[in-house]
Amino acid sequence: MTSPLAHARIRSADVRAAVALPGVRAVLTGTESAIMCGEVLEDRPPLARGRVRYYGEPVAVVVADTEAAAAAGARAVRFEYEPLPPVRSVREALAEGAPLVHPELGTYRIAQQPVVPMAGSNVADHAKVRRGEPARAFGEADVVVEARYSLPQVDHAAMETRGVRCEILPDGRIELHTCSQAPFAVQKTIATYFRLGVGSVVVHTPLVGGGFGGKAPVQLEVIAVLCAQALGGRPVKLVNSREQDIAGSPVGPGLDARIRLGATRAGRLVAAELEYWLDIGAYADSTPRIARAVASACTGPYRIDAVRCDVRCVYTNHTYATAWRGFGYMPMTFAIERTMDKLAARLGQDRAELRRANLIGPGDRTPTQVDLTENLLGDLPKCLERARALVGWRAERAAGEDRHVRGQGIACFWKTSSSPPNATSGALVTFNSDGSVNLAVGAVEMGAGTKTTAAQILAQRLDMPLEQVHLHMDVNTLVDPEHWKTVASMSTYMVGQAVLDAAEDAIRQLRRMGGVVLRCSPEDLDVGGGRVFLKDDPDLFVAVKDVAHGYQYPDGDAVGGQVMGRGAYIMRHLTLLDPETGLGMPGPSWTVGAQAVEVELDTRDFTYRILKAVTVMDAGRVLNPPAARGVVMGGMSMGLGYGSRECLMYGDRGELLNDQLRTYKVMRAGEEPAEYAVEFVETPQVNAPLGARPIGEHGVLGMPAALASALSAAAGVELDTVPLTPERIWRAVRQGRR
Amino acid sequence: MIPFDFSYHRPDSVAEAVASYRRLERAGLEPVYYGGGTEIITLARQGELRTGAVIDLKGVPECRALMCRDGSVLLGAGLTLAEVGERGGWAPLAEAVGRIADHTSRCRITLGGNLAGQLPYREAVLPLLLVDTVAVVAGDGGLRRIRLADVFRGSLRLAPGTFLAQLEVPLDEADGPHFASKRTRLDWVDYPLLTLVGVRAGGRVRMAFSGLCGYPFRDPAMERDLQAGRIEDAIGHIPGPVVDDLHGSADYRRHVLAGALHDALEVLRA
Repeated sequence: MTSPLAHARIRSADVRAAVALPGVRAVLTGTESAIMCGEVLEDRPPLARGRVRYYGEPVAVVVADTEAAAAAGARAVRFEYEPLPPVRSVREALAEGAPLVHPELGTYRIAQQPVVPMAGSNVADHAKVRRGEPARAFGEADVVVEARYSLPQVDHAAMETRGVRCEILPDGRIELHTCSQAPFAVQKTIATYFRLGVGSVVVHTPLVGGGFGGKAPVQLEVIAVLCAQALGGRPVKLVNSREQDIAGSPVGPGLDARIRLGATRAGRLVAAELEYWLDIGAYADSTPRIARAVASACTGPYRIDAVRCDVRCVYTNHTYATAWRGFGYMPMTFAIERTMDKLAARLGQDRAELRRANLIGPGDRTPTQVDLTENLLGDLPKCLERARALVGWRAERAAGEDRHVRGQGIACFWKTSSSPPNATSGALVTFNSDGSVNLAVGAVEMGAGTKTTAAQILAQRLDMPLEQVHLHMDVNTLVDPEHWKTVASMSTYMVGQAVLDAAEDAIRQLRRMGGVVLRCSPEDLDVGGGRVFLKDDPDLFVAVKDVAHGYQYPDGDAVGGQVMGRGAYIMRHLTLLDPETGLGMPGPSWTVGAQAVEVELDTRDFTYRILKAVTVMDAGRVLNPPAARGVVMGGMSMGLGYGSRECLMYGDRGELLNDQLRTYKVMRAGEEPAEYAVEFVETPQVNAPLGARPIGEHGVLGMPAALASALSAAAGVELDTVPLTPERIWRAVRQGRR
Repeated sequence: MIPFDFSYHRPDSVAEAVASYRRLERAGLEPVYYGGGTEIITLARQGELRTGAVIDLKGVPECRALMCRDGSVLLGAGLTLAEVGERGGWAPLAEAVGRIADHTSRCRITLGGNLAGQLPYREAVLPLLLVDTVAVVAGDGGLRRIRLADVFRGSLRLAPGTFLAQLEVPLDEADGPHFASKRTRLDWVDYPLLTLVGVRAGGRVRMAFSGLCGYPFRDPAMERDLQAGRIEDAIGHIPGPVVDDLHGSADYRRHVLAGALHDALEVLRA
């Protein structure tokens, strides 16, 4: 059962009629458990307790023998609410005398620093960047542009809704099956909340039907454990309906922004004053980490030496937010890139040219004062140059047939991981008796091909056919080595390093055994093609299959044992950001790129077609070309979806209006751009597996900005929000806003 | 999941269908007639519809009729929108139904179901309102022929227990060009901000609209204005409040209407 109100006090909950129904085993409400959830700030009860803070918030759960009996039970539960004034936007949340979403803010336990809650306000967190002297730099600027933006929340709209199965064994062990991106985080979280040893919680994930960040948080798992507990450990299953998945489980944050940029007359950026307010909805979840990610990249990929940036997480009575593909970078990029267009207009410069002249590069410093090198950053100028070429860049809009005009837009992006400084990954390689190998990694497969890429890396290093590398698509925390979380585009980077490490370990063992068999030093040997062979005489070899499980001499006795490759990786040299200045190292590298869009706009009713969408990204090295193109195109499609149609819509009382795919629109096959152009620049990252940079999320980042830029060019007005429906463009044109 | 039990009935004749309805009604099961089921299933799943029995009309031969005769076409109400679009033999109808939902759904939604549905759009009715369509209604006395305009006023107004079995569409009446246009918030598959279907018949412009008001309609005053090419006046004669919702505002709907009328008149008055 979920809340029908966005903000209300729970006066009473009457479950007696429901409990009495046939097939109903238990009814739980928020008052039965004292657990408070939250990976950063523990501000959220698993079921609403005393107060509901968003429409769709889980308030009660009925456990029954069948889904039908559970539904009948849910209809019989009676809640009485006393409505409270809802906080319907960031603006309302920050207004003088605004209702407080969390009057208790300040008393919540902090689960993971850093987070800076402001008691007595709706500000859950505040991250800062202070660099140089912006006040003085603005004084010296010839041109200053300032703009405000307000961008809506977004759903992940994964094909598979979230779901979980839980059983508690007689010895107390909790077995959880969940379609999560973060089985190891689920394990630790459940162990903490239920005061168990971490090993007493076993989490299984299947091949997950899409995540996009939405399956990184822990939500239904806690409710499922409570339900199983109420039934003496019997297995329970809890699966979101689409409506519950959109309204009740966490979504992507909205963003309000105020961007102020100062530049010289020649178009050199000298100062930035940036305020970002994330609409995190009713609970903080991982958004304080998103705030720091936004802070660390707050200027976009441009060289600006004087920066003042404030990022705040703002509570509203919207569905609570969590990671969404790009971790806050997509709306941030929108705000920066739209302002760059405005600056270009003010200076009378070409939009692409202004960007080119200000691109951050090796030798420059990031907002958090990281000294950039080519290895850290890749080749952004080349990405921009290729994107311009691929879209056939023209500065001005062009007349098309009759009332149609064409417009082009461009955007640049950068992103680093903003992962915890101790994020870790592991890999285990074992051998079958025919010499083929089994690879165990803890990363979740959810369509991005992470596991396949890991297998490819191993096959390449062991010089064996990919078909001889076997892996399982599921994850089991009991046997698979820990992988932090399958998020932040870091899986290939981290898993890949662990796999290479495991391969080296296995090769070392194979060479040692080979040395025994071939009566030579291990240093004389190499491994490949299913053989351990002499480097200088490859015809002298022993088959891997004959040494991988110990070697048996012709007379029967044996030496050695199973070869098992063990590999590990942990982030290095990352630091938390300084709370006052932001100083710190937020990730192991940046992935940069440029994106462009061409549209054809009907100037009568403002419908439009996306003719072309372009992404050029520095991938370091492309490991799996079709998969890389696919993941980038998927990101572009998602970004264009957010730019054009996707958004959560709330009514006057803060109630979510579109919790179904009938009304929450995602792009359909026939609505895609006529052409996707994806190209990669390759500046290998020397400390990454085979030089590959992260590319998983990045296709999404600049797309809404590039679309808005193209439509603004075509319509002749500045379009400063999304989604860009024809009505919204019509309104902007009618208001003649420039 | 549909969270309640119900019985399923599939009669083979009109008489059996009506008799089943009466019997189930007396048993207190609040039966509903069932075409493609898309709306019944979705509403039942959301707890917005409850019934103890559904009577599937797809086994009633009359409901599956598809026949051309003397410049008219006889369409069974149990034909799916996909069938009507592909084999109904009338372009205005094909274009109107071709933009309802998606193809998968159009292979389930029936013509009668679209007209009788609870969603306010009922776009399949638009071309049918433009000619003197006859509704063949099944009831206790068997089949009865009534002018569609007399039983469809915004929605299908039929007595409980009766159902729409067939539609006789005198498509030769529309002897001039036709025009159809659908506009949504943005997506190809979505509810209409405006669906407009127009024909010329005997030199007169006829037009019907959906999405504009909370029901589909055809309006004589608007048609007089349109015949004279007075688009602004026609917009002033919209017979009810213009819808203002999450799909689009009333203002924008009027703006879209103006453009669509302009395009329609270019074709219909040519």
